[in-house]
Amino acid sequence: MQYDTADSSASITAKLSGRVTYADHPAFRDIVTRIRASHAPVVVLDLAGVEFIDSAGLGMLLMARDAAAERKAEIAIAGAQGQVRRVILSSKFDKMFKLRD
Amino acid sequence: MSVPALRGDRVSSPRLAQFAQAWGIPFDSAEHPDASVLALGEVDSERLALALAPPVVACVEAGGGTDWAGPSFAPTVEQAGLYLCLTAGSAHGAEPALAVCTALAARLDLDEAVRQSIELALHEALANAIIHGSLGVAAPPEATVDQFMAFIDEVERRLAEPEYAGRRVEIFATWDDAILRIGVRDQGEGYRAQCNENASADRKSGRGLLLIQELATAVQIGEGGRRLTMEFRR
Repeated sequence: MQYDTADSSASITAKLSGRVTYADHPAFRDIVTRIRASHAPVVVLDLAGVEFIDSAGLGMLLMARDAAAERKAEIAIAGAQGQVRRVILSSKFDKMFKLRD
Repeated sequence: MSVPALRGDRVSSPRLAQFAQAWGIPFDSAEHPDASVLALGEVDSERLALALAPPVVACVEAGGGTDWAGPSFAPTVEQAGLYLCLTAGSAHGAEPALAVCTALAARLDLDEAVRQSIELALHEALANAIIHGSLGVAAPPEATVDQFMAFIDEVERRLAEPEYAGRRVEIFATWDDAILRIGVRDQGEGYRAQCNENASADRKSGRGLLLIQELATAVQIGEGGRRLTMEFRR
């Protein structure tokens, strides 16, 4: 997985790409740390560039959601497509995140 | 299946000879470009993707002793299936499920949607085998953010300890006209398989086995939780 984050007063966006798997746990630790440190009221996980996600990756998205909830920020998933969209919908993530195209 | 020949990639001849003797494979120092058994001295995702191209039937990571393969090596070679045995430390970062499924698709002419299902199921089985099996790190099912961060730290610590990272993970596949069977075996302490379908929707771990059961037509867990085998319709 590759990632970068962009933080503004309005939102913090974490843009992920490649394969999001258990091997990316340390990178997610960094992303969660940045979400916690931000003051933006909206957190966006941009998955448009992600081609594969596993159950550990889903767990990491939920961890980002908890980190956003700790400071009462909203969280949305943007751009999920292909395998990623299938897996997050079958895990009912549309009930737990706002989904954006 | 003809008698297997052995080839090494970044493995010295004396070490190859020891492995060959331990596993009953004929070995001479001549080059065998079409060998069906390949020993890798270095493992990463690119090497692994190349390593499993035909005519390779079995690929093993060279390690310290000669236990570079496990119990399913001989039967899988005998049946001309596909076999891979890596240390947990190497398997963790080398995308073995992707490499194995690409290799299987090349041999079996799998439909792309079928290949994707098999890849996710194998990937989940391997994640469990590597992290909860061989590395021996348990995940708290209802983790807080801080517990999850601690879990990530613990996985990193175990990956740095040869006693855990050097344990093996074995993948073995055989097939007939109708069914593809894939197994994964680890060298962990074993576990009691639990699969709670009523667990909360936002739990952070424990989804892997459920996904496998959705994707495979049959799943068997044996050897005290150290072996999982899955069947798929081709």
